[in-house]
Amino acid sequence: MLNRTLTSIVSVLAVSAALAGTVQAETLRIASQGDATSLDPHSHNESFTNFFLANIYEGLVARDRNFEITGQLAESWEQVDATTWHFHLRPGVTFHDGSSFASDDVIFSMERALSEPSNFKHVLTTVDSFSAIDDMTVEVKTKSANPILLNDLLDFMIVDKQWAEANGAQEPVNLQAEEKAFSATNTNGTGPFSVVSRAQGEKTILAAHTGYWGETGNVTDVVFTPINNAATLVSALLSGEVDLVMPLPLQDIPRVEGADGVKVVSSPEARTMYIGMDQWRDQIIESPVEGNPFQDLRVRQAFAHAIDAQAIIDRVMQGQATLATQYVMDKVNGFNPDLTRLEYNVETAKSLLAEAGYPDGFELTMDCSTDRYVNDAQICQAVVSLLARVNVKVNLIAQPKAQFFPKIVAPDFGTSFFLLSWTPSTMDSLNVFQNVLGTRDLENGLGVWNISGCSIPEADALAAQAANTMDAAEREAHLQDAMALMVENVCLVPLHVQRLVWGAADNIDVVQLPTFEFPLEYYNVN
Amino acid sequence: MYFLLARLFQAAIVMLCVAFVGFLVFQYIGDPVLSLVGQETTVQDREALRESLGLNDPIFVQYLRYVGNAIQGDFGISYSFNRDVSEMIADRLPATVELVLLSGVFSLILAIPAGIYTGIRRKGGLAQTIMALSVIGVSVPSFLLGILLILVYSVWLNWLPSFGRGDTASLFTLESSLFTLDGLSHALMPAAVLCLFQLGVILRLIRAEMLEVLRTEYIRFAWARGLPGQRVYLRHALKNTLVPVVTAIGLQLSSLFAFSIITERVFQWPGMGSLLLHAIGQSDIPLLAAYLIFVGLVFTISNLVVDAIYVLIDPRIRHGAH
Repeated sequence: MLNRTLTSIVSVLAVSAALAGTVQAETLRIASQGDATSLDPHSHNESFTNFFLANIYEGLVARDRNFEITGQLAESWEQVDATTWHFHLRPGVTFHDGSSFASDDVIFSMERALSEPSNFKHVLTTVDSFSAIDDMTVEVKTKSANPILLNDLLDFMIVDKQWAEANGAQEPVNLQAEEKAFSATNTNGTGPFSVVSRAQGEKTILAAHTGYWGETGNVTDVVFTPINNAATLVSALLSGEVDLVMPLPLQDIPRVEGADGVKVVSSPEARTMYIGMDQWRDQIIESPVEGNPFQDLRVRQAFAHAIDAQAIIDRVMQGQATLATQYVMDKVNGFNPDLTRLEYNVETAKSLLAEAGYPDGFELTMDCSTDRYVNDAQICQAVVSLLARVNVKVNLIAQPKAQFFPKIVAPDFGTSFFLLSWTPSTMDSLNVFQNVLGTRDLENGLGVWNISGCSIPEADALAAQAANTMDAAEREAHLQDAMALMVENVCLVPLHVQRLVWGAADNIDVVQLPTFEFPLEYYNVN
Repeated sequence: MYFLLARLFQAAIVMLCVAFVGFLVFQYIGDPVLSLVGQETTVQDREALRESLGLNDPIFVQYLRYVGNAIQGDFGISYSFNRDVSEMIADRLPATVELVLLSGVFSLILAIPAGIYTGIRRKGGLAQTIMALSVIGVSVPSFLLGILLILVYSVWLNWLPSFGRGDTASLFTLESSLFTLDGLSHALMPAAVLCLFQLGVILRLIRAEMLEVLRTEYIRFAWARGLPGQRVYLRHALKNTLVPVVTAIGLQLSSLFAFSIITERVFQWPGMGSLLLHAIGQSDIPLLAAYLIFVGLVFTISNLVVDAIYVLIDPRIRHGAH
């Protein structure tokens, strides 16, 4: 009897305690096709890993839910002169283990990001020096005026100095190192979520950081499971075992739309797909044709006229993409709204080819990946049949990315015709000029991904000018002019801007950003 | 003892060969450096990383260095996971072993009686049905069967979880998901898919051997002696079918490790198979090499066990050997 009374008292207490607590446990179960490769924020520069870790670690600045750059661990900043920036750190921020955040953590993390095994040296390439002025102020000096320092710093994450030193994780994981890598499997950040348990490739559990400085949604626990197989991923959503799947395979959209309790969420992604044409070799490779037809602008224009990008969007992409007029999407700084596409017209394409001396077309080889972009192999197959209409015979080599990329990348650039795409991580088109569109200068790290080898010196000059122009409007005008020159010269044939397509349970509110980030602090379970 | 030592020596040679073939193949699996670095990395940094990982050395040098380290128990650090390879295999191995054991037990429990039955009553309706079903088991690809099971039992009926491994519990210091109800419910469908193929193969093999043996002189003689059916079938016939059957079962169980790749992928089972697929996608050479050596080891050991069992079953081998 006494026992029963005690039990009921305990349960009444438990219920009232649960009611008294304002925070209810809301678990969000996420499944994605990949897993973060490491938990070390300076180890692998891979977009999914970066965005996963952005829920656990934070940087000086970040994008908010409207995609604007705002202060994260830096509350405010000012430019003292053209090359000197002062960042005022946010007071009262704590790491997951309770220790407080201060300028020595920032300095330590910058040194760590620049250390030999780090894969994030690029975020600080324009930085000359950095130092702590006091506990809450950091001074950063750039080599020359850098108008997009904040964009560069978006991928830079801050770790706890004391924690890293205590656990022998002063440097990111070194692949040759024999010692075990503590930071690859353990974390201590300031982000809205901390890691509760982690079984790589299996299950990762996150819990809301109780001492978090910012506002968050109502998600208290996150169960994250990678599911590689697309059919299983969709089944897990339909059977109610997970609340959110990313990405949702395009062919399953009708299935999710037709099911109860689940919805499709999609928004434009910052990735622009394009077709590249070799313009630097005197003789194109893997083709019986003499010389290099692509050095003739008319041939490149003919290809642009012949490739019906709208048909590819309608058939291959199931409508989940928008036509690209240039090599960046409209949310990227430097997008030129005045540019248009060369319209799809087989006759124009044929006559341009005839003028260029190829009335009967020619034969060439196309390189394509099969597992890197949404429906990449199918896009290439469509291009092959579209070009057949203008008598260009294309032999397609479609390979997994592990074989595709080694074939086509610097320094050999072993392709003369290919499908590729680019997401400017800074969301500024200067990044595209430095990596994809600008004249190759491998010694200085420029044009590493300019696989087509196009070179428009006036555009290079405009981009170089933009790199040092502090006035935002003037700078954007330079970038837009440079983009217009590239498009005029058909450096590449733009195809489409793909959309991010996720599947979610009806009661989940998600925020999608064009970069595939998933800031869980903005998510809600209703 | 001598027999065992000779076998261990053979096993070591097999694994060295497997690793060597592996290193020859690794030249064509792609460039691991590209999956390690981000898009903004310069050509010089890529080259420096390639040099420091020793990827520019001739294959033979890479191979010898690897073997040298492996002999000291060092299998390197996985490129893509930044973790000790042996630690990763130790993490994933229990999941695969669990699945292989569960499906192995299922298939033996079902295949042996069914094989004997269909061998004896080969014209009966039940036997015909079993044989027809076994054809389906052998011929339906496991990924298709897996997806069908998920559709029926997870999406439509909502009875079983569609992916992953369940909670684990320890029993006698062994940690396994087979000791919990949640774990079993997760393991049921993948084990059934793995089991079905084995079941078909083993059942058909036992049936064929039974038919063969039942036609022999000594079985007719046994019948003539008026022995009861049970004794003729189980003692005289079954025992003599066992040598080829045990070989096949041994090979089948080790090949379950190989077949489990596809099943693990479909059910997102966190075992060795999913690890291998990841390693191939990322050109993760240390992980691939360790996997190959490990599978080589599994095949060698299971062959060794099969040989030992022969000796127990068939006295002729025992006497012939020494």
